[in-house]
Amino acid sequence: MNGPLDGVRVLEFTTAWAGPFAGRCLAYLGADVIKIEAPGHPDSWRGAARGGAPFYYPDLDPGDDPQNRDVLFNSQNLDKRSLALDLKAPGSADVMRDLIRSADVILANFTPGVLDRLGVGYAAASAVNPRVIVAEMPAFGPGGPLSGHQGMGKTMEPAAGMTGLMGYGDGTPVLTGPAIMDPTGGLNAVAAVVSALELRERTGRGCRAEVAQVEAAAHWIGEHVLEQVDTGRTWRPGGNDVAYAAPHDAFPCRGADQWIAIAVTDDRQWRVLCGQMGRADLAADPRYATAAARIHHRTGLDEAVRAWTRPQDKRDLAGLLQRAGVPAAPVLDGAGIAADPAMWTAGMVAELDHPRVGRRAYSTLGFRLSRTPGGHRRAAPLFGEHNDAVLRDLLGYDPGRIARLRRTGAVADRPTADTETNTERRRT
Amino acid sequence: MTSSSPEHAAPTPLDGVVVADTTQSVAGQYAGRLLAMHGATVVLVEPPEGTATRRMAPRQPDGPDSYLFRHLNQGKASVVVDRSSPDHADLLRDLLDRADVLLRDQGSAGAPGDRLVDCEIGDFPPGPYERWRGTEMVHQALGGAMNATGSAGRPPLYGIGHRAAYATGTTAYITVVAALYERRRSGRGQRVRATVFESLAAMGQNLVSQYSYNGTAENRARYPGFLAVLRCADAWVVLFAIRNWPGLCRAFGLAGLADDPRFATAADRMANWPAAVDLLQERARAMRADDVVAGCQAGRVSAEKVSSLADLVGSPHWQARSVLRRVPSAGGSREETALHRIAAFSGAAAGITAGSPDPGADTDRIAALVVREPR
Repeated sequence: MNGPLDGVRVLEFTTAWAGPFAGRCLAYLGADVIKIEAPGHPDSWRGAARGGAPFYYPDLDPGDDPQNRDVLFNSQNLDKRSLALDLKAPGSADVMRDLIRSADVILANFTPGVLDRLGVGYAAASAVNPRVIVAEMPAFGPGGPLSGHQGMGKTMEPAAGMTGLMGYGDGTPVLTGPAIMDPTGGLNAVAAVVSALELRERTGRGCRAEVAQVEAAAHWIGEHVLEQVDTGRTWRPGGNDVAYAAPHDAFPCRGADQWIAIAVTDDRQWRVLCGQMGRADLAADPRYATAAARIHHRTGLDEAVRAWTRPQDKRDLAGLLQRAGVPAAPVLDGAGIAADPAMWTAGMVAELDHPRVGRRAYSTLGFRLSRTPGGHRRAAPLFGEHNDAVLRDLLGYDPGRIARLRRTGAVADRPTADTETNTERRRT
Repeated sequence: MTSSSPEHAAPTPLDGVVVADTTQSVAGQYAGRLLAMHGATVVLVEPPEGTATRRMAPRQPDGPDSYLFRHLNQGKASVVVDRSSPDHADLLRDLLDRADVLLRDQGSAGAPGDRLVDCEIGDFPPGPYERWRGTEMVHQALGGAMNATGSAGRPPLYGIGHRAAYATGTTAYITVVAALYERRRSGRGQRVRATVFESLAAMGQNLVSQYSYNGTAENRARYPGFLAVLRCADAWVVLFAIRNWPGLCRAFGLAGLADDPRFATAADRMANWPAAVDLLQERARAMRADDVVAGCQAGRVSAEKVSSLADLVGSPHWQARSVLRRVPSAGGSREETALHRIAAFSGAAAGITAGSPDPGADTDRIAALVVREPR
């Protein structure tokens, strides 16, 4: 199905999650995304050539082609084409020049300056194609003491100030389980790209768009940043406590590590919860009559709720409470989510065929447009899978020229390195 | 912190776009903030008592509005609409007639117009949960992040604030701007939607695919990656070592570990990662956090200190990058702090340049705009 970005071509130089997630969003929205990987420095989420931890692979088996079977890479690169091009090899500069001529967007998540050193930064690219947009998404922007830092989802979260606001209140930091900062940076980068496309319609020229992922993520806790600046203090973590509601916690249910989240956000919901619990005494107790009072006395309150939830099934109980008007949900794990009918009804799961892993289920994205919906249609590409299609069909190269590019190593059909390769002295 | 400076000469990505923001949610109003940040004229349509976010935590100790409201609504204009008043109904109709984009809460009335991008924002899409009440914690529970956040043997944690709602606001922004871009080709608007359930599900780290590949899932007992949270002499450090194991070893004075067979390959390291973390922790206890971070980064391993917001807002990096800015209110009577920029565009302006509006502060100006400039 057509997407709103049909006709937009993206050249993607990204690795791991944030950048590939951004490229995947653009592909979902209809863009033609060509992922360009260096044979000597493939996407780190392709993993190790001899295989990594078993849970990255189909049926826990790396097989004989682990770099094309890794669930991490294969989840974040749907609907893209793959071109394996070594930008430092003879002949590759001409390939890049030809690609840039037909491109609308170059997307990269290197540290500041790397894209320029590779010869595809904004100055070089706009000299070839003045309408091209170069979107860069470093962890930290240029010009500060942290600018050269490598960022990963798990390390950007504490750098953005989020980790200091989370935890059980004992001083030990708690990170969000899945690395939330990667899709956060990815979404912010996509926002920048669509903004830049609209900007180009106003100026007639491309631009360099830069999203410093850590700074951009701080907007997602912006109210706390503003409070900190104004008052010199802000939220101190205490489990699932919030300033506006109680009970507000995860309560144990029947089974090992089974929990229900219950969030009572007003007095009416509190009285309804008491009714469901058969505890008219709590509903009448002035210690629990208002949100402020319940927050003050929450220790005893939570214990009463725990005693009620502990023998019950989390899904049944959440459904019961929701039907009565009390916000609640079962705390789901990966298996629960994969089997959740709501995920399938909402179109949040796509089953796609891949030549090395077979038919598997993947999460889709949350963009919903009535007339140009877009969507996920193709599994992730094999490394270099579209070398010939891009060089021959898109750029019009003849077989002899393509063969020469393979001979010089500018184009390759297999990675020559993996995550075991030491990159400490590399510039990229 | 820098002060706001006029940037009127530079183009903005969404110059000329008019948005009616009738939402009362964090997600909806954050989408509006992003539209305002990128140059659109965004009109917050409030009920007579003021929009709900003005009263949501965290509150100012001695001011009328919450910090949440300020953050979500900086850069917007405000009109108050009492729907029982004929004059107000006319103003709302004129605004919707002029608007390129309508942001509205799920279930509220849309507006006619072939060129309108009509964006509905809510908690759940049609399906089993469509009548459920969503809160940040409810969504984090259903989205999978909560189950994997916290310690084994303790309750799962939902996180902080309204991050699922911010994800939804960003999703809505992307969808709206993509629809505006498409409108150039087709000449037509369309209905678009963003829900918290779908936006958060899209951010789950391979939950569905990992389960489909091999039936396993992350939980609070152990993160499936090369993650270490280390207590140093003066602060905590988080590091993630997807590659460059020798550099990591050197950063902790443990160069000999680079040849230790327990850690020879990625698979070996993953199998023995708890032992590796124990060794790193033993050394980290006597090291300063800044030294650990510097050593890791020198070895091209990602590491950062756990920073408080007090640390961050005064940090040299935030100062050098001008992350915060003081912006004037619409009438110029006060200033407030803003995180003013998501992205920087060469040759163009994008950012928050005005504070959050007082209720109805812009009614006359907006009335003049929508009467003068029908879409």
